[in-house]
Formats: sequence, C-alpha cells, structure tokens
Amino acid sequence: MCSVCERRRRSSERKFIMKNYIAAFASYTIAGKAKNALEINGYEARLIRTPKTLSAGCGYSVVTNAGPECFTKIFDEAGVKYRAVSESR
Amino acid sequence: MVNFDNAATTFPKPDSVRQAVAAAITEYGGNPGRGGHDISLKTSEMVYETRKKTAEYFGAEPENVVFTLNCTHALNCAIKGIAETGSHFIISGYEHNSVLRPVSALSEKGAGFSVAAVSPDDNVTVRSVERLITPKTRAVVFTMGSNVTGQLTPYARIGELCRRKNICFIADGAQICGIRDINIKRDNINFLCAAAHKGLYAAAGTGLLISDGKYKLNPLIEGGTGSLSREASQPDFLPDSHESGTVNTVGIMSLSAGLDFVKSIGTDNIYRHETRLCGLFISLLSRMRGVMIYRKNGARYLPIVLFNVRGMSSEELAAKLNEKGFALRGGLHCSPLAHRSIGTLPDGAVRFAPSVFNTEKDVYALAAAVGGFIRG
Repeated sequence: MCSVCERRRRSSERKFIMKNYIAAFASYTIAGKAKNALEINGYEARLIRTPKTLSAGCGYSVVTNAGPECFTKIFDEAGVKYRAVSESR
Repeated sequence: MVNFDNAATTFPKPDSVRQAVAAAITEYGGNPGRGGHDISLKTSEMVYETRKKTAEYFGAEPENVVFTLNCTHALNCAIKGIAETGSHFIISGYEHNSVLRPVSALSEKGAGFSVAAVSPDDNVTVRSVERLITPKTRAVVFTMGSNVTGQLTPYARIGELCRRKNICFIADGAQICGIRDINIKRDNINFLCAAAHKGLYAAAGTGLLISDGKYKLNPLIEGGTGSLSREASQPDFLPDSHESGTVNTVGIMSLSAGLDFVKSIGTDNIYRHETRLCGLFISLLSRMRGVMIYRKNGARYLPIVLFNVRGMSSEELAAKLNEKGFALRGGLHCSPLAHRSIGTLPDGAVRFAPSVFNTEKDVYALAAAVGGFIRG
C-alpha cells in the first residue's frame, strides 16, 4: 500500500469512515485481472456486478480501498482499462 | 484394454480430473460472467482462475486465453478470423484437416495457400517457408509436431521468420502441449491453438486459442457475452469477442485439474517417460521382419511412432490389435496431407501414442501381439 493510501486509510479509521472506490470494467475477465493486480499490491479488492448508476449494460466492477491515484497506476501497469469509477462507502 | 491412442485424446484421465468434473456439476452450477449472484460469481471466479493458470503456463495474459470447443475450433477461429480478401496462407505438408480444410474453404473464396515441405533438417524447412512468402501472405499456419509421425517442426524459427516479415504465425499445438514446454512469447507465436483434452488431460470438448495480443481476429460467431449487453455489435476485446454463449464450465474445470496434474509431474518428465516407451517400442519392432517404421534420420519427434506390417492394411492391423486388447488408430488420422508427404497413402498407417499412464509392460505386450500377427 502506498503512503498516500496509508494516510487516507488512517484518516478514515479516525473518522470511522472507510471510503472505497468502485471501478467498472467491460468484462469479468478484465475485472478479475484488475482485482489480482490490486491484491498483489496489498489492497483489498472484491468483485461485484457493476451498479446501474455506474455503467450501462452488463459488466463487473472491483470495489477497492485503493485511492484513485494508486489504482490508476496499478491498472495501467497491469494493462487493464476501467470504464467508469465512483466512490463507495 | 490398454490405450495407445492418446494422440487422439488421453485416456484414462487422472483421478483429480474426474473429481473436478464432478465438482463442476455439483458445486459450480452458475453461468459465469452472467450475473451478480453468488452462484454465478463463484463459477466466474473458477473460470477466471483457470484462464489465469493457463495464461501463466503458456506465457500469455489471462484475457488473451479463449476457451474453445477443441483445437479444430481454435484453428478455424484463427485462420478465418485473420483472413482478408485475397489473403495468402502458407501451411506445412504435415497439416491436419483442421488446417487444410479451412484454408481450402478460404481459397474457394479467393484466398490461396501454399504447402511448405517439412524436412528433417530445420534449416531446409525454414527456407521452404521463406521461399513461399508473397506480398499477399497473411499468415503461416504450421503444426508444432505432426499428429501422424510426431515429427517436430522448427516452430520457433518459423515464428521468428514471420515476425521479421510482419506475417501472422498460427501454431497448431494439438499434439505438443503438456509434452513440451511452450511459451508463446519465447516461441514467437501469435496464436497458439491447442487441444486441452490431449496432453493437458482435460475432458473432451475443451480447446484453447491463445493470442499474444498483436493481431485482432474477426469472430466466427456473435452473441451473448455477458458484457456490453446494450450494444448490438460484438465486443471487440478478448476473450469476450470469441466466447459467445455459455462456456464449457465442466471442461474448463477439468482443464484446471489437468494443468495441475501435468505441472505436478513436470512436462520434461512426461516427455522423457513417453519417449522412453516409444524407444522401447521401436527397438522391439525393429527386430521383426516386415515391420515398417516411419521415422527419418536427423528429425526430432514427439512421443508417437507410426508403423505398418507388410501384407496387412493399417485398419486391419488396428482391428486385430483391438481384439487383443490394445487401442491404436489406423488409417489417415484426418491428415491425408501428412500421409501423402510420408508416402503412406492410400491406406495410411498405425499410430502408437502412449500417455503418462502407459508402462513398459504394456509396450512389451503390444509388441508381442504385433509379432504374433507377423508369425501367423
């Protein structure tokens, strides 16, 4: 976990708020690859069906405690592209 | 019954594969990638983990692994998917009908193909491919190891040639996967087509199309993929572009167990064991008069031995061996082009193809049965 995310996590714990993010992907396979990349980098990640509010049509999303600056870098390195992103609590 | 027809499909399967098939039916009943409920997600995760495991085994990315019905299906996807109007293909003289028929069908629509001879000398084989390249050559489709004789081709060198000439290289890995170490990046393969039910010990109805990501293929069929559902057009990304309809979850789970089985023994150990059995069989047959073994000096082979007994058709010999409790395949092995290349048309020959489960005792018994037919 990077230092930015670690500070964000500690700040969230003090406020009893755990802010997560949802990144939407076009398919289960791409979402699965994204989930693996996050876990390898020490973040929590789980797969869900993409919420209707985030994307039209079928797809899967990853819910993660990684911050946007981190997951963007991790996804780039893994070669996966998300289609939409939103905050989740 | 002792099975020596493992080049067609391996049998028996490992216990772990049998258990995986049972678990697929009893525990993984969801439709993968088709919903957000736990039953679907559990099956989706299993499919993804198998995709990842397969990708790691062949040096690919998970999203570039497509589950197909079999190797023929994978080859059709690659050949017809890469073809453009007027495309020219180069195939080897050892190709199975799974390659010959698709390129023949395309040639009726304007695309042509040329056949490169396979020599025991790899330099000669590579040169024969290079000489056939034209400005219209779209792809070279080459077996990595013949399903008839087992002769290995210089596939990595042909792949390297294709890379230099900016031509797509489609490798038919039906016989080699699980027996030799294959890495699509190291071996310069753009599309690896494989049969999971052979050397990878999965259930029948399971094949693989693995891409290195360089070339896009037009899909053979369109339909539901569980992705981008509001759009009328087919997704253009792998694996969804080539996996319309529900995938074979039972076969995929059997592949996961089959890969674990192969890795637990080791590809090199499997190759050594089966090659030793072939060597024993050849040495026993060599002592018999009237037995012809189709091997060339200087060539390298997968663990397959092609042979005939003088005065007896291959089908007749295979039928007699069947009566004695040995399963071997006679005839043309769906590869008339290969039999023409080695001079065994029109009757073909008998193919001996052991698996990891065969023993030296099995081979001695088979050789004794063949010897019995010669004597009387």
